Amino acid sequence: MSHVSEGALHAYLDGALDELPPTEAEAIREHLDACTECAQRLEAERSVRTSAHAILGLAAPDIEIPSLEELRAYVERTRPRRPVTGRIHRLGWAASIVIAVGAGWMLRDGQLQQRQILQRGDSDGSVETSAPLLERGRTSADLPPAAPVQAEAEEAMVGATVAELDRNSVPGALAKSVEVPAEAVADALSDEVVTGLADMPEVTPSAGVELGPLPGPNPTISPPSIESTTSRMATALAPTAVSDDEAERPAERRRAESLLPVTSAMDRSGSGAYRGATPGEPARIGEPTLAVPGYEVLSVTNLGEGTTSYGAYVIQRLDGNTLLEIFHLDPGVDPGVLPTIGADANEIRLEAESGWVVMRGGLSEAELQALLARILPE
Amino acid sequence: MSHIDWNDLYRTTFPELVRFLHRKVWDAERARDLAQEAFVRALQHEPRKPRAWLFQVAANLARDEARTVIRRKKHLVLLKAESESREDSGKDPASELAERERWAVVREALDALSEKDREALLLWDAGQSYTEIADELGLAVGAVGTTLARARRRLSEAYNEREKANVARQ
Repeated sequence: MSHVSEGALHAYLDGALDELPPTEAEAIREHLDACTECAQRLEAERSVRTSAHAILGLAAPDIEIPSLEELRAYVERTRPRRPVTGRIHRLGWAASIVIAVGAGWMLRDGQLQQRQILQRGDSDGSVETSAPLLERGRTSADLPPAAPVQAEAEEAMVGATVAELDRNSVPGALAKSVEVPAEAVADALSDEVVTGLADMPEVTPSAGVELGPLPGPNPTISPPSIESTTSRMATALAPTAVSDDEAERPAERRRAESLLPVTSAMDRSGSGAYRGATPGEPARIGEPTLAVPGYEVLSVTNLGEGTTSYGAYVIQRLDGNTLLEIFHLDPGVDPGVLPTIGADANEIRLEAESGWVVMRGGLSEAELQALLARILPE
Repeated sequence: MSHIDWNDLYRTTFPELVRFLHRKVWDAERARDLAQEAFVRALQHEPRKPRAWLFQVAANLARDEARTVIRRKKHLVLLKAESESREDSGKDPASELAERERWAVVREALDALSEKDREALLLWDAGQSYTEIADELGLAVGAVGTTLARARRRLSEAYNEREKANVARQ
């Protein structure tokens, strides 16, 4: 007669014979009754089982269990119309990049425009926090945890970015507009640091796009010049900081954690011709993450007023206590619903087919871009 | 429509879920947070097979956690009582450290298992039945015993190896 398998012995010990087909279970029981060898094996397996159980027991946590009532009440209180994680949208590249620099540049729909400088009056010391709609209508999220974060946000913004005000001062009147393909903008932003708006593997680079002349007297137009931000980026983006050399390595596809390579060069001759890919068909990209990997997420809440949902709002803490805000807006929601950005913060926006993603923080545009790239899937 | 007895389910399954998650995230508080998150979702979603669903969601959360480090602060609202009780727990740094060292060895031993074996073992230890485990891992019920046998043996071996190595170092 054949002996029972090791698996059957464990099933016996686990009291799981009843889950097997009855005839099989019966056969095992009968055999174990009769066979001394298997009875011995059973004891051997018993000690293996006990030993494993004891080992796992060493790693058992000691925790308090919250009451189900509280959990239930919490669920009721914060019931979103849709779960937050369901709100991650497929991002396409069909649309444009809007880059708002604190001191008054905007690139919208491929056009460089001057924007009114906002909140300069706050130099009296009060800084408007980039607080989300928590202040306007109540969001469905809980308020108390967010409040301390706001205070921190204020401090962070006041403290961290005074230097950026100088750097971001507007070079001069920029009256005209210019068509700029989204990708070229990315190039423009990255003097020293090579960043890009993510690989677009499915977008075929087209021939150079003819554009009108650059505005203003300054042919090397670009958003306010960015001094080398590599060291700052190293700080801000640690622990996955990328050295200069690494950043300039040509474009083999890298993981979203690292800076992404630029895929084309911007012609700064002033002729206005930009080489590079135009955003073509939206690439079929998988879901981006809500938050940037590697940094603490302080909160994830829903944006909305009453029963109207705008999207999701994420606050993360970066290194040096800098705070990053990410708004994942629902389709059709205009970023205008967001509160005006404070003077000390920069903002970067990506309009996707299915909603805006907005990032704000006391960082440079290039840093924000790099972070944005990191939440986009490869 | 079958009615889920949430109180009962919660009472039995919550601690199991925490235990299960702890062996994945190796942080008691995070394990509890994620267990709560799984339950919050279950309360919203009302799945037909709640236990299996809960463990599946918990496994997904733990995996996502490792990838994206998303932390949910909102659970602090529920857990404010926790911080008070923690202070009385009398856990001094030394015993805390010793505990973490123990966990580290167990963790390493668990890493020595194949993913399926490990999952099966953790699910079993968290109170799942053979049928549930088979369901969640895509195994035949008859194969669960074999998987567990192998997992347990491997865990014991790996753990003993490490313990020996640790002792030898001292």
